[in-house]
Amino acid sequence: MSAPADLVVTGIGVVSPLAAMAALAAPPRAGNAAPAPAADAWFDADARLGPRGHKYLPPAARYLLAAAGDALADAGDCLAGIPEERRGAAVGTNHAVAALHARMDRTVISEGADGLSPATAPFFSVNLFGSHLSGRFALKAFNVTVTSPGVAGLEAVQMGLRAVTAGRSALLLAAATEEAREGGTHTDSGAVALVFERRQAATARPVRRHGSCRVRSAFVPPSLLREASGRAQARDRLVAHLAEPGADAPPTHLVLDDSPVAAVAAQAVGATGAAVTYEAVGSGSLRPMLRLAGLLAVARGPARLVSAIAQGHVAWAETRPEDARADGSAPC
Amino acid sequence: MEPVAITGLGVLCCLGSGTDVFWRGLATARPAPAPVGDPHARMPLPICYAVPDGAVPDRPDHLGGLPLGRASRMAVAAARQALADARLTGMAGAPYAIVVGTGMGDSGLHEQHRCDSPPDGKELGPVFVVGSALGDALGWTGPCISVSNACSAGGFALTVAADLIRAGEADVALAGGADAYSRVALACFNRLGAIDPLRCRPFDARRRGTVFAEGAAMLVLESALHAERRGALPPTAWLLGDGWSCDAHHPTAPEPQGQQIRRAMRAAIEGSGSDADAIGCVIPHGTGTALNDVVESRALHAVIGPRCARLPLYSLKALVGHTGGAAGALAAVTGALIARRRAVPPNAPLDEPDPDCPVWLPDGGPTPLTGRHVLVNAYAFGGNNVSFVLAGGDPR
Repeated sequence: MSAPADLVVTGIGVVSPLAAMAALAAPPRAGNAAPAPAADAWFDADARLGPRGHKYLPPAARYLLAAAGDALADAGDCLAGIPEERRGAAVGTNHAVAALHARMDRTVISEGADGLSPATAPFFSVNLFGSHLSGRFALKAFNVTVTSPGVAGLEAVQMGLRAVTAGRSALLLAAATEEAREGGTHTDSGAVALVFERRQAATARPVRRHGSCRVRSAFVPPSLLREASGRAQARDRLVAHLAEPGADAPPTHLVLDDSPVAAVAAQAVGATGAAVTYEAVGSGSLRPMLRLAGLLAVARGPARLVSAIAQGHVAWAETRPEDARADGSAPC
Repeated sequence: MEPVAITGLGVLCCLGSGTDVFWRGLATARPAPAPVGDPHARMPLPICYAVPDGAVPDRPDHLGGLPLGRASRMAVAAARQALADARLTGMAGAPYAIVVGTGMGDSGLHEQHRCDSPPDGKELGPVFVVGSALGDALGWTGPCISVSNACSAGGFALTVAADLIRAGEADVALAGGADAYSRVALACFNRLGAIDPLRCRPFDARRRGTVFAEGAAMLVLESALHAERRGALPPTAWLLGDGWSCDAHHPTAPEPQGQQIRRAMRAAIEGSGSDADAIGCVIPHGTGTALNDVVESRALHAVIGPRCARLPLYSLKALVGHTGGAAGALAAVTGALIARRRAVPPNAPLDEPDPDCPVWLPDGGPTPLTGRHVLVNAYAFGGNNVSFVLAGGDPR
């Protein structure tokens, strides 16, 4: 896997009900079981974003702004030395707009277009969720939204890092945001944001360098998997991507659904000899990014994350912590 | 920037299917938007430039057991055209890349199911599966990326694909865009008062907004080395340079001074290894929206200079409407054809040219392409801008 141009993660922002639920999961007092939280009760927009400026933003846009704000705060004064036209953003999502579309469509069917809110109407376009980041943080190099099923968040990291390497920006804010689809579970809501910048820039100020990250992707045509020979071909291709001759495979975390595509990806990872852990991908692009943020925050050695989904998309990220200082303290 | 070869083209739009039909239509057809055939489209102006039903194939209709919508099927049809044009058929298993732009994906399918409950009771899958449908239909195994930058998605897809090739991550990439009728999108534009009741008429003094359209366009991109090795040089056209920017200004309105769209154009021209004097034609974003056309006209004058007054523009949306996430890709196909054929098709005549948009839209007949390069712009909600420079024949 070729390295992106000397980029390190200096900022991590996570907005997820999973974090809020950790508090809710505290043992309830006898006879007083904790109620299930309401769909959006876990997120206090005023507390996270201030009292103004977010009234008409859909939930996924609010989550994204909060996560981006946290990531940039974590990265310290990273924007100060970067011209606005050298700051880029890449955002992945699958369902940020799904629930909103459903509400809008029911309004059109029952009342007509005049029943739509003109303040909310522009958000029919999914790129507006990410575009708010540019307005808020003056990210003028580029702002790209990507939407491949399951892997859109990792795809945003990959595409954004490629763009930085191509010279399109000097700093990247890569993120994923989702609002759970109607009828879905609210743990599929939330946002993750990561700040990437040049190691040299990060080294020049007192900020923690969480590590480096590389993402690659491939496609496994689902129709190929109907035959055993096709499954073997697909597995072997992924093994060729993931196995490095003469090197031990890093511990690998799988974020998968229950599809044949995911099964092939799991077999390929198994063939590398890696120590494997697993979790379900859920709905949307958030879960792989939550895990990626976790690896960057706490992994003490190289680690790999592999995500695969029924529609054929497979993406893998490799993280590497910054080398420890001689005195053993965290690099900063 | 390293030139990337464009070796195949495919297109579906209101003019029909195929690049020959498309090129003839650019010169001779004068289509008009028509009411959408959706009884639930409760809005003042339910109009669209639709792809003729006969031009949209019935298959592929499923991906892994989930139904596919019209945008996915149009994308696959355009892709098959482009690959046949590039003589790259039968490449299942190849590690080639796919990058597709789509603003609404298969939203139309979800909207249809909202009114007509799914016959099998199954849950519908994700909306943005156009890239997935392409990957499965072609059997390709490289990166498969879905870009959803609204009306500039197709242009971004083309340049993301070029980045992939320049970075050595793929030798070949299929890039383009596809969008089909969406009730939600059209209703929201109605609510915003951004639909022209008559037709799409960019740069006309009496324009009232844009008019949505269906369309798909695909281009086969290759590294020059790969194209040379398989005897595909000279290609149809070259992608010489591109530039991205973001207004960071307003959700729907362009930044009035056009600073960032100028920057994208200048980056594209600089990346082409030449200068503004080499531009022989511009395919503007030109949507028919009041402020956007003025800002783009002024930015073109700032970038091109005084020569802009006699530089031919081809206003594609005036003919085929605004194809959303496909628009940049349709413009790329048009630009590639202009570069190859060395002629700018006649524009759909304006009723009353807008004096605030001092651009030249020749409409009497084909205009010879006098410069070497074609500049293409694609802009979007959120101020997401991309420009790129195409050339035919010798890349320099």
